[in-house]
Amino acid sequence: MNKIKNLLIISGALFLASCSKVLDQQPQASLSPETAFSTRTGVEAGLLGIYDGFQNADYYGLAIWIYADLYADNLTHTGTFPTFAQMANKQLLTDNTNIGAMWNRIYNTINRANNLIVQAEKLNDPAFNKVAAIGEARALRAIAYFDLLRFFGGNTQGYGKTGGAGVPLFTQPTLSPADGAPKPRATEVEIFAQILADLDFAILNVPTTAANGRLTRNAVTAMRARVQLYREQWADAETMATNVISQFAAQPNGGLIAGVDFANLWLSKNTRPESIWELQYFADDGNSGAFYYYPGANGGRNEITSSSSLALAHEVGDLRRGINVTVAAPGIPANKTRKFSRTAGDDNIILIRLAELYLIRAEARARKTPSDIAGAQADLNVIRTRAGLAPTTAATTADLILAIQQERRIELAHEGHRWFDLRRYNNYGAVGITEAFRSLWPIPQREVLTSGNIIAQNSGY
Amino acid sequence: MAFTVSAAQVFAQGKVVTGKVSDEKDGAPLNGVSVVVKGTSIGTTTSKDGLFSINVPAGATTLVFSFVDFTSTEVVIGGKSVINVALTSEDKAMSEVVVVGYGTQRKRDLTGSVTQVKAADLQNRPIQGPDQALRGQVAGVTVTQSSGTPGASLNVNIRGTGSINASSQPLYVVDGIPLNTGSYSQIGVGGQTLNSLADINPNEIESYEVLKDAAAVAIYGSRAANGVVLITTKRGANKKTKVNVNSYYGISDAYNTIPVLTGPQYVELLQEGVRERYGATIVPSQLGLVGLNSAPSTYPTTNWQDLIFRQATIKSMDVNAQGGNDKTRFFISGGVFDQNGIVINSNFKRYNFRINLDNTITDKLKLTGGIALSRSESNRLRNDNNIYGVVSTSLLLGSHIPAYNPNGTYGRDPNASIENPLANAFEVTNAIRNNRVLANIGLDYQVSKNLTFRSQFSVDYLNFREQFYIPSTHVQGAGVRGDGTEGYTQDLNWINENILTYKKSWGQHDLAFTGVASYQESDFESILGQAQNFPGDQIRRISAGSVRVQASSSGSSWGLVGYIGRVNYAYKGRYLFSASLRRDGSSRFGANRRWGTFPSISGAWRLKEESFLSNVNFLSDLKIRASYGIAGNANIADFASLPLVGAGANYIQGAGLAPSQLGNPNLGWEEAEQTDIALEFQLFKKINIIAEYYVKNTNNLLLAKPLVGASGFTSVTENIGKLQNKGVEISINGDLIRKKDFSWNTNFNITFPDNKVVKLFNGVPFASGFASWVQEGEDLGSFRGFVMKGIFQNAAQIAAAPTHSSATRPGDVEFEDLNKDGRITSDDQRIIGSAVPDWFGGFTNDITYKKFSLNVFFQFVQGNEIYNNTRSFGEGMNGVFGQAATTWDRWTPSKPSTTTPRAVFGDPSNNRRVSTRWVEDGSFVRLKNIVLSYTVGKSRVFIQAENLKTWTKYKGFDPEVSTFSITNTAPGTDFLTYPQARTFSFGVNVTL
Repeated sequence: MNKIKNLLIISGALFLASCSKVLDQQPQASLSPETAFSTRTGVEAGLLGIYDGFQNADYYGLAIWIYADLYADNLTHTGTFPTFAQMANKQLLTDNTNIGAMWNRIYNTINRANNLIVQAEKLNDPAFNKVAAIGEARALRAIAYFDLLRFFGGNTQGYGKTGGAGVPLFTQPTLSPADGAPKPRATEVEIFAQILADLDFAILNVPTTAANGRLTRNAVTAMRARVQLYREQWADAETMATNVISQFAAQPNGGLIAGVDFANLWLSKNTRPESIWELQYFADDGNSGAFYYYPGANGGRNEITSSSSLALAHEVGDLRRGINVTVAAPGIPANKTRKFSRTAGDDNIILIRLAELYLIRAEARARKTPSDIAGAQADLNVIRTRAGLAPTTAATTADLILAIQQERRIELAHEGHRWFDLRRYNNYGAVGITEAFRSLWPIPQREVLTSGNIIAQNSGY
Repeated sequence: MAFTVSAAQVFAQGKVVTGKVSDEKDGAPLNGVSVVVKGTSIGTTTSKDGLFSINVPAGATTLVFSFVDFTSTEVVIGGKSVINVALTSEDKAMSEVVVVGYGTQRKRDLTGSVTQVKAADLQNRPIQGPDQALRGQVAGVTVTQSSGTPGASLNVNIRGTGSINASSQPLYVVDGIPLNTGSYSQIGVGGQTLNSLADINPNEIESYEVLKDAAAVAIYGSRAANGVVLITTKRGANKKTKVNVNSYYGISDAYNTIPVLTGPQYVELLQEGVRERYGATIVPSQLGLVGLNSAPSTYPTTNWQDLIFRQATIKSMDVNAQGGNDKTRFFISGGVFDQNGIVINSNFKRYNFRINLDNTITDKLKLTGGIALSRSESNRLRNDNNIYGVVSTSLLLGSHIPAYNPNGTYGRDPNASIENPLANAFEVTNAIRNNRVLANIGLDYQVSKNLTFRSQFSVDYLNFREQFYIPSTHVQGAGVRGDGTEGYTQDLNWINENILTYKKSWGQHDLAFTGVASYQESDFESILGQAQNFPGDQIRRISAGSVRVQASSSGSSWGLVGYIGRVNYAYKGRYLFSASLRRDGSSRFGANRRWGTFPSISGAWRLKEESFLSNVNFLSDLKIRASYGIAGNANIADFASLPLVGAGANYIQGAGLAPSQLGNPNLGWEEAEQTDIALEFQLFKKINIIAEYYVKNTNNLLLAKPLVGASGFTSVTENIGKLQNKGVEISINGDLIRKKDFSWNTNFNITFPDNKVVKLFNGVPFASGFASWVQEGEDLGSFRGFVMKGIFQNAAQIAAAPTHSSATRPGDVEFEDLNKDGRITSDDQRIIGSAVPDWFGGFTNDITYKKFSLNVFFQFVQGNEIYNNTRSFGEGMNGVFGQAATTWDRWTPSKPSTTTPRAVFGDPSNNRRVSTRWVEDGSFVRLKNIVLSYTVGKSRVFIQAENLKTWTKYKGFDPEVSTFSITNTAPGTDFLTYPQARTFSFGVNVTL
């Protein structure tokens, strides 16, 4: 019996020892929120985490710029996704999974920014430039809210108009399910107020130079110019554009890359000063842009193709035509774009560039009261001259607005502007949309259901 | 049992007793029967002729005769010197012993629902793993083979799908080792997941016990909500060594293909679709479509299915030896299983080795142990929802594309993203290797006459490797000049269990008590690397790739502690009662809910033993039993309760962090509360019938409580939600005829399941898969979509009908305006089908005539629907995909159809939307297996056919299908899934 008693005692001791250890398991590849952002390196990593949100395929990695050209007239759908077909056909259903994924991704990115803004505030480390980090995070948050408004907000006539719809406004981090309780949609005015407050803070605090891919003061200023153009705040849009343009106006082509080298803006990377903010991609975190354009034989999935309407919209001799609508050549498939050419996924994505600022200022000058016709023509001609075209013949405000609209379509094709421009010009009919409600995209059905209708659907859907 | 006593000599001293032991059934002598003088270690075994001779000491009173598969028999020696004994075979239903949680029990004493399946009945079937063997054998158990992919996972549900988000698969326990199950792959292939149960050789298994009701499963606590399958492997016996050689060879093929258009028909359809959409003068090149303008008749035809399906071989060879003496007993086995898939370049190969050893150290101390090693190798194809799959591209690629170009390169469709199926099969490699060790060692100690103690330590260790390479000759690898990914995963799962058993009988009372302390820990690790840009495609290791795309490693772990008590009490052997209680602590759950309690209570009444039934002769047995209890489901992510910030949110090659999960300190297990009532009766000593009714309410379902995406998260895991499974199970086993030269045994089981989602968070339904829909009050497995009304034949009909879209034209599908608002919107959807059948079951007949025997097994499923998403592409007529032959009957102005719409490029009216058009009856009856065998001595030769014939209305490859593999919320969807094979085989079982 003694042997057995010993056996029982030994095994008993073994079990007690193992018991406490058995239940004490810790994650190996994650941190708790308390420890993650409690150091300078943690906060800096969190800042990069916001940019990582921008890189996602459901955001700037693919979604934003494809959708804005597909739900318009620059792209045709040649692939398999029924969700893309809905966009191409302008017949969106509220359960379109791509729209839901984009909505969720943008808000996920906003939550990353909200975490950072709050956590960075708590950190007291002399080696840490707190306001610069907060400024960067706030600017990213502003851009994210602006993108939500561009798709889901405003009214059927455009942005900054009376009674425009907004989106739910979250400016505090979601740390528990209670923090994430549904909120009704704020108004467009409230969202724009938040966007401007964030951008203004950032303009004051973000450094003037930064590593490629990070926001600089010029990038934030340029974004503010774009926001003010949407809001039809012509004077401020012009001022903001001028703040950036004036630094480069004396350079050849007004700071723009030469027309013959236009494709190099994408084929090379980070061409300054024209490229103001460029989302950086490497093979290890690639985007699917080229993959979605290119056909199978070139290693892609042929989901989208430049439309024949885009090809026909080019004037004779336009140097941009071959970049916007490719001609087949070795290694280059037909009817795609040179703006995305690397199927390995390491194409950078230019989020704002100097050429857009010239067009913003041209439009602001044309549309302000009174119009600055000559100034608008001069800015427009910077773009046209670079593209190898004759100066504009438009000489009235109305003609200039049409000319700028056309120039924006060509200059910014494949960069995610077309649909928003059509909304701004209240010209959605140009792409065959007859029902006004379709100028706002539907709030994802899941969001409406999950919130118990606290988050209201856009009318018509 | 019968024994005869002869001779009459009376001696007080020791003496020699001789005799013969035979089989009660046919009088044949039994070789190797253990004959022991009770209370001593004096013993012998019988010879080939069944004869024995033993020295019996003075004072000895009894001889014990024991033999595998026969009832142990004690004979009082008295004055006898010759004792002839006929042993009774144990396979009489009621005296059989079944394995239950932490012990064994006589079948007649069961108070819970336990179904035993003897592996001998399943031997030689051309199947990979033990889960496949259970199909159609047990009432209440659904085994769905989600595809024919060799090595792919099966969906096994005991009494319905018991969960929404956590696993619904049962707990498998092999010789006391709770198995690691599931898929260890880190590389997605489009649909099917791998099955780690396929590592186990079904031929090493002695029996399966399927534990179904709460009385049987609650003792496994927080992991038992989906039932438990106990697998017992073969062990040695105290008799002469028996060597078995089992081998078979077979040929498999695809029993069904989907007819498709010819190349010219395809091009004609496409050109017609372009004209329908853009106008009579528009040709494909004006849309940027290349090479489709020519006259249709000029295009070739390639039937891709003919090129990817093949006749494939299946081979299995296994050798085992079973034997031992009164001290040591062994079972040793080795085998090779080699299956080629019916799709080119797919295969599965497994090597197995097992030793089970038992040693009696002293008459009180016994050592048991076992070790099983296995290695499986397969080439895994991509399939299902994957544009680089083999089966998928064989259907998605148009038949107008040649297999090869004149210059020998693969033919490709310049307009589609679909790669040539032959390139997908032959160029890409995805080599899977899985090494596995299952080992256990246990010590049994007889503490006293009534008390035994057992301690067992076991491990399940697996090491999984996958090596995936896309060469530059494949479109995906062309741009990046070769793309290689390699992953390793290992999982070590150890468990220590200590079992105390106390048994006491007095008067008419029998009492048994079991106490267990269980400690288990699992440690999981994985690494994954990916590189691109290889120097040619000869070196496929990622070290050769010059661009390192990713390198990652991860680890996770969980621990489980359980304390268990169970008491069984019987009065007069006819009033039976049992209760058990388990307390489980799991590291997976929130700090506030780390420990849970899982009770069960059950009782049975053996009515036949009451005097009022003793004269009812046709009724040879009758028993009622009932049980109630609660089991848990802890199959969720290891750290689902914790708020987490995750790494990997990198930018500009700098390390980034981002919040990844919200926490819930109150997170606990799902609770399956189950009530079971059963009636077991036997007629004429021949027919056993069990009729059982169960209600299983799964409460506190671990659901992702949806959060508004605006919060930055889409969900948090909480215990919300309820699910109900109830049903009636009937099994009938008839030993109809048992004569010397002729016997007939029949086995029939049928289940009428009913499944309902009772409660979701705030009642908010959600979508899953392609058409699946989870909604309160509906089946888990429902499909939701539009209702097709017909085809618009003319513009007047369109004008009169609710608005579909501005692009709707004659020939488009008309859908029902369910909410009568005059427009077809997403609100016009309803439940249009369910993957849950009305009834299902199996029917086996075993007929033996002299040396021939015939076994015929039918499997049937009735009343379920399948969402055939393959057809929504193959009959979509909207783009550049291969089209089924049925589109030849499409609507045209001159040939109006009422079922198939017009061809129109881009499908502007959305004819392809999820609708009743793609929902099909999934009922089938399948002659699953038929074996004819001939016995020669102790050996046997057989021929066999698996999946010989299927009767179904389903239009896809195979009605037994699930593209989402074991996803609970989206069963019964078919999307380009690898079909099951039909296999003809022949083989031998030789016993030496």
